[in-house]
Amino acid sequence: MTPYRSDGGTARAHEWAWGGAVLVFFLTLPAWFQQEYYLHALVNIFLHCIAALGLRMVWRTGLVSFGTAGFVAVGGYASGVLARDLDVSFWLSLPLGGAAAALLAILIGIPTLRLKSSYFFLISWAIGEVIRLSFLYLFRPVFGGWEGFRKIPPPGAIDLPGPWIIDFSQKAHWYYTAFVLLCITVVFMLRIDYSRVGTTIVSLRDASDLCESLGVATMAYRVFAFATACFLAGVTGGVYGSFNTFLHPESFTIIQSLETVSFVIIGGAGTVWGPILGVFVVKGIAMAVRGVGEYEVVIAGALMILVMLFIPEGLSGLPRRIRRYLTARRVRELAGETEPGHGD
Amino acid sequence: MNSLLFLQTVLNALMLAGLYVMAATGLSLVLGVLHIINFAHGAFLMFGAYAVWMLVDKEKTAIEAIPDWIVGLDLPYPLACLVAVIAIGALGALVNKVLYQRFWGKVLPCLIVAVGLTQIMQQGALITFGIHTRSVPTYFEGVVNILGARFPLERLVIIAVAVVLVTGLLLLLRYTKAGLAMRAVAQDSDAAAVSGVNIPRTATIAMFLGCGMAAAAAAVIAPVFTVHAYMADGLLIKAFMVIILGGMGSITGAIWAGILVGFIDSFGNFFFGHFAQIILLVFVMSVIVFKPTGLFGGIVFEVFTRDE
Repeated sequence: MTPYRSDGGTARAHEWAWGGAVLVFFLTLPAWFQQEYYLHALVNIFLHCIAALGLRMVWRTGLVSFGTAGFVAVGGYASGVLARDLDVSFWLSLPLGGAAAALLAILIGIPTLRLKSSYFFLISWAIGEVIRLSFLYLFRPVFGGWEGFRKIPPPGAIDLPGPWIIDFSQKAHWYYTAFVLLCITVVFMLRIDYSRVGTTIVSLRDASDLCESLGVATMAYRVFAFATACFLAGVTGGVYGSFNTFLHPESFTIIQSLETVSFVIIGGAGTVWGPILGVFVVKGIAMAVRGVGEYEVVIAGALMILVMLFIPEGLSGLPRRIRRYLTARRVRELAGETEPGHGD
Repeated sequence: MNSLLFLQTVLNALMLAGLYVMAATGLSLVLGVLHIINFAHGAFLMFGAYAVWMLVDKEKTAIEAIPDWIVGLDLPYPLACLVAVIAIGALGALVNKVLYQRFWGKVLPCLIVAVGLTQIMQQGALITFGIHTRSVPTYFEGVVNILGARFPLERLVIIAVAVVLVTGLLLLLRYTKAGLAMRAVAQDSDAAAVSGVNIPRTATIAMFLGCGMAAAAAAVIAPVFTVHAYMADGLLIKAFMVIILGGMGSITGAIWAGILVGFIDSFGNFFFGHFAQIILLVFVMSVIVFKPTGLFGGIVFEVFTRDE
């Protein structure tokens, strides 16, 4: 693939270097940074990244979804039921859980995605609530209701060539699983972004009427974006369920959905790295600064407002902003020297 | 269901209707005049409840964050309600000036900002007041006997307050200059500006009234239900459902829809228990899909039909 930049060039050498360095950093992390607490936190961070990347895709069609948590729940419960009660292997139950979430997304999306974003946010919020309430009150023998859904088994062991066995007894095994899933998601998103599908999706946001008049099947793209986002959310739920062996409807409220929205907004939906940056910034501040833990949501909210006020394209747009500002200043300096009366 | 139970359910429905109407009309007013979705409406409501609690309750000494001069205050409940309403209304006006005004008419940025604000307010309340639910002592004690059904007086007060406030709001909108300005801005803000209406000031007034209404709802809820940081989450989604059913931006639509939702809620709860919530949500989603303008033919604001 030829990685394109937004200014039309291909990726420069230093960008490959940065990317490679980050990749190596995360790949080798469990080897030299063995604290279980941080590995556990990073697994959750990677899962948030995947869900945020999904939401980003919906955002790029111009719609905002407040229902992410609901679809995470669908994936989690579906995968959990398959794994626990039907003895399906995790590696099968995970994509099936994602597929269940995607299927629900398609069912909901077809009648509702043609609505304007102002209505869709309410629909997505409502569906999130419906899902949560359903898992709370319906089919209690199956889903556990208030007591939650317990004893989800971990994935079966994988025998790698050589002496290594991944049996998910250590956090590092989960870490790598989540990281690999994240990498797959990132590559997928990058490919979509620079493909015809990706550019069409963005044009939906900017000029959907124009698109329709040109014969673009806008609904198909919207449904695709929403279904993909919900598939990713479902996969996140499946991993989350198996990782924690326990699911409870209270983990999937509007609050969690808004948290995911905050990741995308703070980091910026312009690039694939934006939401990932958003997750790391919010969660990172919470983890890195002692005593700040319970203020995490306050910080996320404040950052959202500040970003919206001052850097609407998100923190990932900051380098470009700085570059533009510096360039403009340089131009002004140069201009100031040649125009009389504009001295100093 | 025998007639006594029926009456009980009807009274409950009226109480819920009063609540939903109060919450929804405030939201609808802000929606109509500012053309934005004030997602933080619920958070303002919750702040209103805590404000009343802070001014009234004796237990507040347990919380260090509350300044001493507030701890010293021991207002009677009605006065506390009034102060809370004005304070939260003022807070709303401030939020409008600082945050919403600059995004005039742009729904999505305002929504995001409102989401951030909600997070700050909810988590802030959680940190300040703790996870334990608070309660405001009952002011209107006693039970009233209505045609054989026993109904707590304070719940009756909710209905009465709702009627009074909403009527007041309608009168204000109809007969005062500010009300006229608000209706003008809601209908066509450009034409209103050309006609000499001070848009920022009108927006501020609308926000003051909207948040004040939310605080009033919270003030009467506080003794009846518990007060905690997430108390308004369920109420907020109900409020949105009400304004959708009533037609976005229509105050009278919100009133009818609020009554409808109150009755569906009460009777639904009786017949279906918890499932009523799910049924109600699905019902509202269907209405959004099939008749986005709402059941009661309210005005549909341009913001929701034109491309964004």
